[in-house]
Amino acid sequence: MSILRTTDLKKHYGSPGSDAVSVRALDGVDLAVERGEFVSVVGSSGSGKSTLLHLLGGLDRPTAGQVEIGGQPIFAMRDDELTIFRRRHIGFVFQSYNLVPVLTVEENILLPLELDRARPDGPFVDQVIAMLGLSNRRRSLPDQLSGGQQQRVAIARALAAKPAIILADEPTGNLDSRGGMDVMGLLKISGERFGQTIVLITHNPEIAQLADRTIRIEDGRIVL
Amino acid sequence: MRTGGKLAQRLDAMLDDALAGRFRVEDYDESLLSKIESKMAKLLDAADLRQTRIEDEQRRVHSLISDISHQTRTPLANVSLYAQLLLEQDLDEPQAGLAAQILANADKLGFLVQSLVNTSRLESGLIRMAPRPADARELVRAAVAGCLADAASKDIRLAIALGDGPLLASFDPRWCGEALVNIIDNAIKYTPQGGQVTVGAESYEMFVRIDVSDTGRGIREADLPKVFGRFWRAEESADDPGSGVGLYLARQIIIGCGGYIKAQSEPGLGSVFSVFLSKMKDDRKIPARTVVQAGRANTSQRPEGPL
Repeated sequence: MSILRTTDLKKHYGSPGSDAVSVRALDGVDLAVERGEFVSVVGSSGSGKSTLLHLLGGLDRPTAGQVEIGGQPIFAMRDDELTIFRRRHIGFVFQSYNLVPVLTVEENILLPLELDRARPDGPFVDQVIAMLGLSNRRRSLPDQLSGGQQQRVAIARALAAKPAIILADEPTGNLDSRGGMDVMGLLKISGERFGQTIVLITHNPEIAQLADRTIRIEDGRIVL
Repeated sequence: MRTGGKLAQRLDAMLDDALAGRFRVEDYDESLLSKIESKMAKLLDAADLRQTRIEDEQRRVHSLISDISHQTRTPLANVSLYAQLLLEQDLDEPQAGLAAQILANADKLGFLVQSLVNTSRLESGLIRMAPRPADARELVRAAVAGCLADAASKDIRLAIALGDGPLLASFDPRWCGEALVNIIDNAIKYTPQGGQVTVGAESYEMFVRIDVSDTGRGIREADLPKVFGRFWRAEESADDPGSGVGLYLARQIIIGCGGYIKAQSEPGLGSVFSVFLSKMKDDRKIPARTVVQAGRANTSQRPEGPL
C-alpha cells in the first residue's frame, strides 16, 4: 500500500480570465511512495519541486488533483481538519531549522506533541534523541548549538511525533559539506531504524543519492 | 443494560470496521474520539505490517539460504577439487591451461556464492552485525593490506592517507573489513593499469568517513543510484570480471552497522566511494535492511507503523 499518493496534481498561478499567461508550477504529477521508502525529488530551481512539497504537506491547495496520505484525501478536509491532520501525521524539516529560541532542545522536540496534547512515548523519544547524538544537549538552547546540531534537533522533532511521512526541503542548504553529510546520514539512518517514510527535496545529486529512489522533476512534470 | 452512550457505540462500530478490514479515520478534530480513531489506525497498521514482515522473512530464509548454500556449494567444491586433481595429471600445455581456467572460474563462482550466502544471511537476520567501538584506521590498514597483491598484479598504486590519532567509530570489524575489501577490490577492478587507488579516512562530528578514490573510468551520473543494486553492472563493463554483488553486500554490511555508503564520480576521471561509520555506540543490534528487489528497498524494523 502506498502511504503517499498524488493523482494528476496541478498548481497553476495567474488569474483566470486575465490575459496574463498562467504559470504552470506543477502540471499533472502522479506519484506513489511506499511505506518506509526514502524518496528524493531533484530538479533545478523553478522546476516545481518546492511547490510539490508544499502540496504534499498540505501547506497549499492545488489547482486540481488530490494528495492521499495513508489513504486519506487531504484536500477533502476543511482547513482546520487539515491543520490537525498535518500536525499528527506529517513531519517537516526545512532548510531553516525553525526552532523556538527560548525553549531547550528537549522542549523543542516535544513541542508538537504538546500542541496535540498527546503523551510522548518516552522511551521512543529517548531513542530518537540518542540516535541523533543529542543526549548531552537536551538542556541546551538552540543558539548554543552548531547549525548541524540545530538541524538534528529539527529532525528529532519531526520523528518524535511518529508521523506517517517526513517531508524535508533542502535540509542541508545552510550547512557546510561536513555538517551536511552528518545531517543527511542521520536522517537516512533514523529513517531506516524507525521505518520512517521520507520525501526529500534537493537540488544536490550527491545528497539525493542517499535515497532509495530519485524522482526528477522539470517544468512541473516528473521526467524519467 | 445500558450501552454506555454514543462514544461506546462509535467505538463498537470502529471495532466492527477494524475486524472487517475496512476501518477508516473519519474525524479530524480535537475530540477524544478523533484521537482514538487516529491511534487505532496506527495500531491496525502496525499489526498488518508485522504479519507481512514475518511472512516475507520466512520466505526469504527458506528459499535463499537453503537453495544457494546447500545446493550449490558442495558441487562447486567438487569442481574445484577435480580441476586440481586434473592439474596434477601429466597434461600437455594446452590441457593444463584449460584445467587452470576451470579452477579459476570455479573459484570465482565460489566467491560469488559465498557473497550471496552472506547477503541472504544478513537480509534474513540470521547474521547480526555486532558493532563495537574500534579504530577505523586499523580497519583501513587491514583492508588495504588484503588488496595489495591484487593491486600489484595490475600495476596499480594502492595508497593510504590517514591523519594522526585514532578514528574511533562503532562497527563490526570483521564484516566491515569484508565490506571495505569489496569496495577497494571494485576500485582496482575498474581502474586501468598504472592507475592509483587511495584509501583515506577522517572524522566528522557524528561519523567517521572512509573514502576509497580511484583513477578509473568513473560512473555516469544516471548510474550512480544503481551501483549498490544487487547484480547491477554498467553496460560498458559487461566484459569485465565481476558479479555485481560486492558493492551490494558492502552496502548491506555498512547499513547493518548503523552507517551508510555513497558514491560520487567524474566520468573519465575516477570515482570516490565513501563509507560513513557511526560514532554513536549502540548496543541494540540493528538488523540489516531487507531488500525486496535491487534498487527498491524496505525497512525490516518498525517499532510502530505510523498512521
